[in-house]
Amino acid sequence: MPTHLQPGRDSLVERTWQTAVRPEFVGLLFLVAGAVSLVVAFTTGGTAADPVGWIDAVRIDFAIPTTAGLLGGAVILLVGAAWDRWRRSEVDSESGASEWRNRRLPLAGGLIGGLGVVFVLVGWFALLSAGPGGELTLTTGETAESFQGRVAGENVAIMLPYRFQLEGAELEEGASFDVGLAKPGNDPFRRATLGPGRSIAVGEYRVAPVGLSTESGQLQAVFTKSEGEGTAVATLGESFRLGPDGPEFKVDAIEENYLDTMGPAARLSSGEMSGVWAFQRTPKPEHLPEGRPDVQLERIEKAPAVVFRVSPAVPMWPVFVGGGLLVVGFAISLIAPERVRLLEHGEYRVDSFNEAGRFAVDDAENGRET
Amino acid sequence: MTVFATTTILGGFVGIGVVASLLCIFGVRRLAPVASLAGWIGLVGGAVALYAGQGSFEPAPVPTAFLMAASAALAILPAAGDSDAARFAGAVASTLVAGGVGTAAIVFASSSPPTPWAEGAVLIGVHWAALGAAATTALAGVLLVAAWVLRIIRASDEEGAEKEAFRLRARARDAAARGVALLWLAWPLARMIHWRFLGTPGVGSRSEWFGLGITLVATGALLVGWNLDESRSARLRSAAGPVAVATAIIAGVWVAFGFGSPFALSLGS
Repeated sequence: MPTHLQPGRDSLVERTWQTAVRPEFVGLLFLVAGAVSLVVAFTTGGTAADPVGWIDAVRIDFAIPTTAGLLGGAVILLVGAAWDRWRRSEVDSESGASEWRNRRLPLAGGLIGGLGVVFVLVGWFALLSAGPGGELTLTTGETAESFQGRVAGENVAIMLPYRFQLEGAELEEGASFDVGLAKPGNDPFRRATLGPGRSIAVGEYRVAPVGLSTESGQLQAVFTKSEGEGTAVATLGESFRLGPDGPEFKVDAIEENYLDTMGPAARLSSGEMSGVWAFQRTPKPEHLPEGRPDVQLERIEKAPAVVFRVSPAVPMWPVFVGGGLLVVGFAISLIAPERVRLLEHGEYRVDSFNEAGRFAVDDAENGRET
Repeated sequence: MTVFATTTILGGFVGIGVVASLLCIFGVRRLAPVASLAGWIGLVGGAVALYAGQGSFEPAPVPTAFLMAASAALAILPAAGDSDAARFAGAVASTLVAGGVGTAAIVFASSSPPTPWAEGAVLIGVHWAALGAAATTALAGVLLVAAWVLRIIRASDEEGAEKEAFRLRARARDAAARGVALLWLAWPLARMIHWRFLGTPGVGSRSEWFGLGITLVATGALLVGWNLDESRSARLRSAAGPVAVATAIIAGVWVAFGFGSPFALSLGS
């Protein structure tokens, strides 16, 4: 295999290859791929009625294969260029002892770092190609069978493989959310307590609590006793006790303005009694009928709803492996200093990533390093 | 490992790096790779340890802030390996800028996510530190291009001027390359941040596409300006490359700010 190629004498394939592995050509591929990505970022605005925000998920069906293809081509050419240099370094270096340190080790560093980048990018493109994700908003006690996603610009409800239930939410001492997965008609077969950002696998999706919303969601009522301590919060259908020995009440209805005149009210049932109304504008205790349980409605508020992010489950290891390789490659490039060499046919060859090492220029006339 | 132990150990790496860098500036050049490596370990090791939950922001803000700002600065200090005044001044200025960016990163990270998500805020701080390091390294590259051009204009007949000019040109390319590498580091960090906050490595938002696009454009600009031949087009591209890399990085962060979200992250502020 010739070490110094002469255009005109070599085959078309060889000449095409030599042009393609020049850094300028690979750089051009990167520039085009970058331009495609930027076009996606700035032109995907949705419609006036349904704008797509800067941090909302978008699915661009042309951009994923285009960018991935351009980058794949660029990576192949970069590897080819590196391989060419690796081969040529075997011939051009002066002695075997310094060859690895001076030429091959920094190249290896760059290759390893580049491999790390490739891992992370592949993981990201795989995620984008894996199907739409979306959001799910639940209040405590609510169960969902589907989540809201966007497919081809439309909002659709995408079914989940299991019923997803928010059994409890603890927001005081650090947030935690008790969730359960259930098959229809059965009790939850799998339960978990999730912190914010921690996910649970639901079939081929991962669901993670990411925030709270007070806009959607049910009303919840805060109950107290007229005498003594005891407060409870409950939404529709929930049961509560005021104090450890008190009777258990179930909330049958919550009204923001009962009969449009009487203000916030809640209808409770307890034991044999049903249809007990608790009003916020409560008459004095002595005006209440005999035998009525001691429960008052303090206020009605919106129950904070928990927002879950639903995304297709993709493995996370490419990110860790890729990040690790990137760091290792960068570290190798820092440790191994490089040289500027003046080759016999007058070409300068500089392969330095970290020039804070010995930065030496061959003094071609004197034949020694400065 | 406790928070205290983690920050002490990582702070130790940073301390080694700082001492080595000072020696480096004052003439002991061989320690420069050590300085850079130590700072690098501090930056990335900090990110990994904090991701794994071995430390959070609230109990130890001061050492964490020092860790991040110093790590960002150390990533660019090897450019100050020689005694050329322009490069030294550039490196000092870059260090101050990186320190400022690192501190701003802490402030931003502490105030932007709502509690109780404050733990992951430090990851965002490290992400900002990597971007700060990338920006300051790329700016060092621009300063080196300026030094190269001035060298050519000012003293074209001097003995050894050509060699000196060539070294400046090669160093400018190195600084730009390091800036691009740090920008690529922000990418897996962004994936980890999304994993911590959203339970998924990414959502494919416009912000992420924008971040990818800027990174690819910077890489492309670096590669287009890679050749160190003496031909006219190669010299023009050598000058344009580092300038384009710095412009891409700074424009990227600026535009992302304008949209109200950190660079390449799908998180609101």
